[in-house]
Amino acid sequence: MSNTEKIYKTQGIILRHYPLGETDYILSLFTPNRGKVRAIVKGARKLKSRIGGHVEPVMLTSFLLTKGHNLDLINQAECVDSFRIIREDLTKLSKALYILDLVDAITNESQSNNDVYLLLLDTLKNLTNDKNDNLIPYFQIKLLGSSGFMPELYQCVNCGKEIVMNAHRFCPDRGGVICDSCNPFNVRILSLSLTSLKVLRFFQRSDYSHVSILNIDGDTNKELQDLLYALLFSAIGKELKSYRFINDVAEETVDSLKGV
Amino acid sequence: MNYEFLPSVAAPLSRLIQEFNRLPGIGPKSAQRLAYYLIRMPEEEAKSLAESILAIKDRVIFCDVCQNITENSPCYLCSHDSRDKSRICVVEEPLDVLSLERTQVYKGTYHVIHGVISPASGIGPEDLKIRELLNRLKDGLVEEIILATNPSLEGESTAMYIHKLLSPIVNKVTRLARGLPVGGDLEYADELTLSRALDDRKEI
Ligand SMILES: [Zn+2]
Ligand SMILES: [Zn+2]
Repeated sequence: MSNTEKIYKTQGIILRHYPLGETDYILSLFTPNRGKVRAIVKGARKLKSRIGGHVEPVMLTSFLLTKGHNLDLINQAECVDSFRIIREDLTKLSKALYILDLVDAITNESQSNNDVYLLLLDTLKNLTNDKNDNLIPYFQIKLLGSSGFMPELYQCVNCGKEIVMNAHRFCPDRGGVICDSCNPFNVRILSLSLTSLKVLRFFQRSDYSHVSILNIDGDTNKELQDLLYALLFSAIGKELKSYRFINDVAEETVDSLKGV
Repeated sequence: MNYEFLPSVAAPLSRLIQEFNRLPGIGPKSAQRLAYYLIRMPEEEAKSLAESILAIKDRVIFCDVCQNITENSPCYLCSHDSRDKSRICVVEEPLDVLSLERTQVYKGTYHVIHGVISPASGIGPEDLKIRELLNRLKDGLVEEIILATNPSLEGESTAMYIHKLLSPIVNKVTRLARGLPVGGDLEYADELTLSRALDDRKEI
């Protein structure tokens, strides 16, 4: 399909919506061939709207659109998969919203990136399973890789030398590992344990089916979380607000409030 | 858009346009249209409009109990004897109270949380009047919480969050049935609405 046609069909995963006027939404979609698309859907916020139930975030929907100057216009929409298991489980939903927010933040409009599309679709499908350990860190590292921010895990990002065992740290601003001899001025350096380094390398080269069965201890998990977050922050250039919600709905947080 | 430096627009007018532009759902074009409309409005009407804006800032407050907007706290609905205080219906906005009251079916009280959880916009549970809702449950007299947030993703997340928080404290936490709209056509209903309508079906 040529991108110059005025009317086009595509499937897309709805990343988020912004209210527009009284009854409309602007949608941010991620599509297989056109990357991120922003489009208006008219009347979707009316309670009786026929289209409203097909255009919520965290849905895979089939669209018919008209190309516009600035924003495209959605003529028809039919939900293909609503990921109901995700949207009816608060913990899963909080993770899904963070995943979508990351994709929205790290990609540019109208740049096709089928790898990101497939990764996103697979990740949402995997999230519907009961066991989805390691899914978020795995998704983060794969997303960085497919969107042009592949972390360097073998050579020092400052001097280029091969990293040797137990002499490594992490430099999020330069996007990878740094050796113990390098101390560049004015960049943040985080500690990186051997286990974390091995896990990162394993995630980078493996499929989720292999990653999901790996048991990672709490300390390593925490270190990975901090590293990946710092890496994403330097790639995106801003704090992602949806990250906080994962903690807001975590069992411990809710439990502490239950003590009322 | 900045009108300050447009010499063709008088200063008070450009200020008004900018003020309108800040309102939700009003773009620069509508802001201009409203401002030019007001120029031609009779002075009496303009004064009454200006006074009514000031009056809502002066006299409208939040009810200490239900957080709805009111002139007196506790509000009419919270202080009336005929309302069943053991039921609280949780809604997103004050306008939702009006909609539910119009049905004349519900006789309990309300709680307005003023918004919905929206992680992507950075609105979390602590930004809503949820703590105030928890406070209302301390005396243990509340039997049922009815979650009446919108059936949107944000409304659903908010309902799930409150449900998770309250289910160990309150006997009964219910959710408004989500189903087919009156006048809706099965053929056009989306899969999500249909499956929820099936889940929420009842005997007739
Ligand atoms: Zn080095
Ligand atoms: Zn009240």
